[in-house]
Amino acid sequence: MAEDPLAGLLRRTGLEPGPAFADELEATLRAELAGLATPTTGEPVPARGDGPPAAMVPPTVAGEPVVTLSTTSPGGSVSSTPNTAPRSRRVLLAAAAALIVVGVAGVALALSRGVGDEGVAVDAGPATSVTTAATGPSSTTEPTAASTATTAAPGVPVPGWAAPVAVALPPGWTAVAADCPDPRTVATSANRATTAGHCDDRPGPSILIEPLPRDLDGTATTCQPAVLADGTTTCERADGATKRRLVLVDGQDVLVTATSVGDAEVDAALRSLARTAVAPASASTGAVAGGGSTAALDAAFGPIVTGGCAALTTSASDPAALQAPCAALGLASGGATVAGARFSPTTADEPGTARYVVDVTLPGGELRSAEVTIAYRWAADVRQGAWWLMAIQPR
Amino acid sequence: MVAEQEPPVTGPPPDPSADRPAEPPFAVDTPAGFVAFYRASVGEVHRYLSRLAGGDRALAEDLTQEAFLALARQAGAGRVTRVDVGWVIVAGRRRFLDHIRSQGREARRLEQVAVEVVAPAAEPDWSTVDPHAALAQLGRLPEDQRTALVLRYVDDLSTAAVATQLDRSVAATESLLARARRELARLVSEARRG
Repeated sequence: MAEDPLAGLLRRTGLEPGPAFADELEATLRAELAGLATPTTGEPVPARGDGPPAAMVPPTVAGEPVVTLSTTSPGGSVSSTPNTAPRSRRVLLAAAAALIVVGVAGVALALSRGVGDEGVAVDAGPATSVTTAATGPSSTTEPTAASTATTAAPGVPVPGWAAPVAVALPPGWTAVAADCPDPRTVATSANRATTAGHCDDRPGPSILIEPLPRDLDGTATTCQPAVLADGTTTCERADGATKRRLVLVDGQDVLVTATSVGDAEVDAALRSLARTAVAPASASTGAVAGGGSTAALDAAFGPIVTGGCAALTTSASDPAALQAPCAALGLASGGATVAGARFSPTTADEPGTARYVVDVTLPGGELRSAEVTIAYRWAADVRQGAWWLMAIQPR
Repeated sequence: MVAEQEPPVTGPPPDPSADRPAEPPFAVDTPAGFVAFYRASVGEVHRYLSRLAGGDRALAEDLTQEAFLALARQAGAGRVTRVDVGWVIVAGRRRFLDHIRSQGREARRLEQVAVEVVAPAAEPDWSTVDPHAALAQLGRLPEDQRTALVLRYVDDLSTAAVATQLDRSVAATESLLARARRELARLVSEARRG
């Protein structure tokens, strides 16, 4: 049978790969294969579940420090979950960190924010936090534009991380160190990023949390944003026993890979983590009013629900973007109550942004709505390798 | 044309048998072999995925990268030792289908209530259409229509197989294909008229 002319035409279409892309991808694949062949590189990491409270070190280019929230219990199926699904396009790194302290202390997690553009962080933004690891290198460094523009040497903590902030461990979870020693180099069309590597083969249920820019993770374009009750946006993709979500925590894109963990449990853990994991900025930056982890989260999300218009200017927001709809609603002088807010889905073409739809009750009781676009500000550039990965296992 | 083979996910390769096709030509169980395969196949993989992506180069690159990385992980774990280009293409296609499935629910719901009022369009002589122009118009099609066309006419899947891939009924897929073809014809004709 003769070929359909349309089929012939369609088969002649197609874009050739650009040479830069092909070269970068080849380098990525070489690194991937080398990593698979050599499972241990970089800084030594504590044995899983071993020793005193696990803690966190600033991210390094090689040998990403990883802390896991772990369990004393059950086994479960062995999972194999890729931690990253590389994406191309320009990249601003959302670098984040988490500290987990087993038992008594709890968890500290810090999120770094700022602005980076084409590899140069121009605004370190609020102070970022990092904690020290029990066995790894530690560092406390205030972020600066200069430091964030510096590429860290392998094994050297990336500068730009501030003091740790202890927050509570999500109920039902304990922490252990995970062994994710081999960074994965991800080539993109614009950047080359080093990401945490092979935390894939971990026995038992697990939740991996990777702060990352949505540009890189691939999830944003394979998931449909959804809304959780607490205002956390997610997008989710089922992939066998593994589900990935892109979660928004204080303006931080976080890729969550849950394996053999029920949705409800993941939701509960994430909500709990989100409630506790947002690091307050230092007083000097003044970016997050109020301080305290809960207050910081409230500053990011809560005031939109409960506060007045002025409270909409938060660490995770662009004041101008927020004030514009406020003014449009006649709220610049305050006095109105924001009755509620919900996330409005964003697209992959809007990296570093999110939208709220804000419902406002005016003094006279009138209800108005406005859409608020928030631009996130990231502190680190992806090429620094400032990745951090945390895994959680249920007790 | 892409063979409708699914990349093995786990486990050893099936036992060879007399009626099986020849062993895939590329050994990827060594880095050198893998790179040789990559260099030989990246162009075809990218071209294919760029059709699915409707000419969106960034998306095509993403899909290409993800597909090759998937193979690298499988090869590194010893689960795959020999492949042909179809393995990577199917892996990339899976990722693309994940994407449209997750995004397609709402669109399909709306589609179900929409009243189709599409005037029949005379098809152009496809053999005279410039491939670059065709790709540009392919990119203007709704994702599900574009995907259906590629699966049906590039991969040469049956309508039933396309329906399975798109998680639709055969009847709905027939309708989708018909609409996609009409719409592409309309767009190409419009573009030609300037």
